[in-house]
Amino acid sequence: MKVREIIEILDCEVLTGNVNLEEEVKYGYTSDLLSEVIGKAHPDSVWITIQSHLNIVAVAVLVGIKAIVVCEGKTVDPKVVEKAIQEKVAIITTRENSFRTSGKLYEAGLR
Amino acid sequence: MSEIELDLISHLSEYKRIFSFLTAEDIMKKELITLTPENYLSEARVIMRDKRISGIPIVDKEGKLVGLVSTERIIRALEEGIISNKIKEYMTPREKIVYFSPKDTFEKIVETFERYRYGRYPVIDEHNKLLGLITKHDILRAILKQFHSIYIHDRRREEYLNREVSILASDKFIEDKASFRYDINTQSISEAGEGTALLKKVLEKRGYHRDFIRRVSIGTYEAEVNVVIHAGGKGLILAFFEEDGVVVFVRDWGPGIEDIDLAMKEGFSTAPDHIRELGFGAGMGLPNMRRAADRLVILSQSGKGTRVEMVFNLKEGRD
Repeated sequence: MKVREIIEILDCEVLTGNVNLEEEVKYGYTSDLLSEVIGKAHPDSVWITIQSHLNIVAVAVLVGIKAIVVCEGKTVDPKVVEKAIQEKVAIITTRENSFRTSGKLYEAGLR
Repeated sequence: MSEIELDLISHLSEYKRIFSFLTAEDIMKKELITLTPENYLSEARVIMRDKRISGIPIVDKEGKLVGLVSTERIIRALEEGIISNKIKEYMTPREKIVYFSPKDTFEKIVETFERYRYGRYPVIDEHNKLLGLITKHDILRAILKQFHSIYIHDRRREEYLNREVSILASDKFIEDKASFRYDINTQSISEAGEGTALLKKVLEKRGYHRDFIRRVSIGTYEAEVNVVIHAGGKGLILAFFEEDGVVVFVRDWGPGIEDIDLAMKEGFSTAPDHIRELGFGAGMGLPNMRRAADRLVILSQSGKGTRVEMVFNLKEGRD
């Protein structure tokens, strides 16, 4: 599934413009604990979280995560967005919670 | 077996419970050199010399264990002038061999080593088919695989903490020989990981495989974040690029780790609440380092800082 399709499925806003929209994503991982994500998330994942600080970009880069969905309508600092664009990680925000967001993507075929 | 090796085995019995989940089939080596009763003792001798092994299982055409030839037997055969004879009449016969079944426990194995003091024990299934061989080296290898790491945690620590050379690779860690150096100097958690990001870029430029880079990055990131969270943000990352892998060294001069064994437990953390709210301090940092690195040494002493050494080996077919 392409990042672009994820955006279509979720009721959400893209903060990072065209970054990674055409990238292919196979897996999803939901957690707010960074080390869990580092240790367990697949590369080529979309990461669903309520964390929105600068370190999420570093974690995404380490793991090879293509897109981060920041849930619960959390605001993402422009510095974080800037870093994400620079490091080629898509950041998407949604008002929905992590459970519903994960559910929608699971239903659409992500594992 | 030498005195030292026997001593090692008797120490192992102290850890019987810790490794109780290991069975003979986990421990045994499966790549075996075997001969048949129709081979000659002289052939066994050549194999033992060239492959530096101390015993050869003898099997029939169906791979069933029928005997064993040890170096002791070969030495006697040389003395007796029968080295050109066939193995079949001189091997230790099947009924005299002490063996293991695949599901035999670690406890039973260690006890058997203590009781019989032979060098090697075949592992056979219920049909007598030879599956593997266990020597003391195989036991140690199986245990080391469980540890993946060494924690030096006694009064010698201070001496080691300040040594300029590596414990894992003795010629390394002279600072000016490092292929990569990054000074950690930030108390801001949002800047934690900068050093790792730079290291990752360097590794990418050098063309390492992405799975390998991921392993190095994970280990280094966790160590770097620890320096920022726990050690006042002052530290040093050194990396050494070798033909067979990468060695990473992360040193800080912070308060040190009170209890390394406890710190290695998943879920244990001493991170403050405001750090935890950011998703750090889940108690997964050290376990992640252990998983990512092929070898890990953490040296720490209360009040003297912490030193982490990680060896990442390039693996054929994997990285």
